[in-house]
Amino acid sequence: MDALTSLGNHNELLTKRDSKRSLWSGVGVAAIGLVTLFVIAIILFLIGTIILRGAPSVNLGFLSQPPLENMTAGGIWPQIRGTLLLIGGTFLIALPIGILGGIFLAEYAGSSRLIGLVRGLITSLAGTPSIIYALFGLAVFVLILKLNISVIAGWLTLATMALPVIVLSTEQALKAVPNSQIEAGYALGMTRWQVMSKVALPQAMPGIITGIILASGRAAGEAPPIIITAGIYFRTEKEMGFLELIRGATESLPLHITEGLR
Amino acid sequence: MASIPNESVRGGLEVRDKALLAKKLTEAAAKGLCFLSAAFCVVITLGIVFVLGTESLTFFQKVPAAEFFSGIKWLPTQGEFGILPLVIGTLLITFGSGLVSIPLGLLVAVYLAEYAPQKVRRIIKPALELLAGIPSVVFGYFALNLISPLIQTVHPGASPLNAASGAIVVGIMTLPLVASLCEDAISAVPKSLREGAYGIGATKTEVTLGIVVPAALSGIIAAFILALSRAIGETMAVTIAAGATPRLTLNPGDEIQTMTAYIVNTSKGDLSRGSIEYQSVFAVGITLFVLTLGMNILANIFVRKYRRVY
Repeated sequence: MDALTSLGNHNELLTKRDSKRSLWSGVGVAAIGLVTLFVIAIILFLIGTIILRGAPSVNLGFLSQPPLENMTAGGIWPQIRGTLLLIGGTFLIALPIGILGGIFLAEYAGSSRLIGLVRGLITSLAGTPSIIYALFGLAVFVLILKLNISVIAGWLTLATMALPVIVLSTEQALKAVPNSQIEAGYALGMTRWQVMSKVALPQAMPGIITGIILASGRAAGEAPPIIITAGIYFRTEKEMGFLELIRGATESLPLHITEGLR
Repeated sequence: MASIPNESVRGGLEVRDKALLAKKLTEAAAKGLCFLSAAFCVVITLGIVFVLGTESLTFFQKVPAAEFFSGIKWLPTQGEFGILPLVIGTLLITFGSGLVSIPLGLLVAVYLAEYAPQKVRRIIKPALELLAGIPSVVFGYFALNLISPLIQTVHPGASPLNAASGAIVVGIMTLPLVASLCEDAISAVPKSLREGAYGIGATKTEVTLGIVVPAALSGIIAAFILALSRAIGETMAVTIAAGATPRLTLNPGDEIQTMTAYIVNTSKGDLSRGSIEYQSVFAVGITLFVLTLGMNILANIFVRKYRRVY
């Protein structure tokens, strides 16, 4: 009898404890879900604010005209043009070097201590704040090479900044290509470079392109290097040849927003 | 008659030799080019260290390093170069942003890795990427127009530009970074650990918070360090939101100036090479560089640790 009662008590205790535990489990799930919901709400609020406040002013005229009447009317065409110009040149410089560098790390470098160090250096370069690149560009390109504050100086500065991101994402994308494919290439008697260019690179392309898009977002949106090495807030529109355009400073979207907020 | 096949064989061999030679040449050229490109990245790193180093050395010849690192007044126009107000301003922003990005980012990561159904994941991941893709200046706009007014209604003593609004906005900016890195770390925890815990009757929350998160801890710590390092280097949003008044204060309602804000405000426009202000920018720059580099290396060590374990 006694043993049975105590067993019953024990069971009761167990179910009590279990229901407490399952309650806490439920609370945990709910809390984590609520926080995620809160974060999503913040994101929607921010994006929604930009769209609601910005969309009414955006029309063809706004996108195609220069600013008029002391920046109170007209549009932002020179800023768009400047930003596109900066991104375009930056990638013509950074893309080939970055992809080749990534190929080297993924395929030729092996895994010696020195290469480990190099990889560490490039990783920390990718995490270096843009303002440091801006200072580097100011000292080296603007002042020492006497390029002045110009589109060319901006290209070189932004390219140095985009380079490590492209190298690392190329390396990662190449490493994700299945080994069997690469070995099949070698088995057919292809050389290393043929395997790289015909088998690995095409397969790694989506990953590489993602890296490039990330890097270009970074380059286009980072105001400090543009402000310090390439930017000007406003100038009177005039007809310019391409050479004249890239030797001078340019308007750009990040700088325009920065100055507009002052 | 018999010589014809021989000749054609010889010709074929020559063609093959030529093709082989061409192959070898492309091979060598490709390897060389790839090597040069990778070496170029190393040269850039060394270049950055060299440029920041030489310019700040000339600065430290004029202003003693001891005075620079322990001075509590930053008034460049009056020749007072004590970096502490800028460092404290930066730390205010950094720790404040960590209070936002670390708990929120970690919980979102836990949700994504352990709870979210595929359908929900497909909405949340792109939303976070969208947030990560918004340029820093736009976050400055948010801080100025949305967050600052909110802070001033809650705490009327706060100035219109204040450290708190900078910290919150940088926290939101770095949240996607924390979330995605923590999620990677949590997903790398082997299934067997979870199943073992379920096997002895643990509930879902017990497994997640008691087993999975501790097992992923080194990766999670790496994510935290990287987010803080990103916050230290963040420039435009803090310049716009937190202001340009170097001040030794711990009050988040005050206007402050961070190291990055000083650099960007001083080095735009006409700075002549050789002036003490120009050199001071590099002295602040190298301090910032060493700080972020150290944190990035530390984070790398933690990442490698969890990669080795699993």
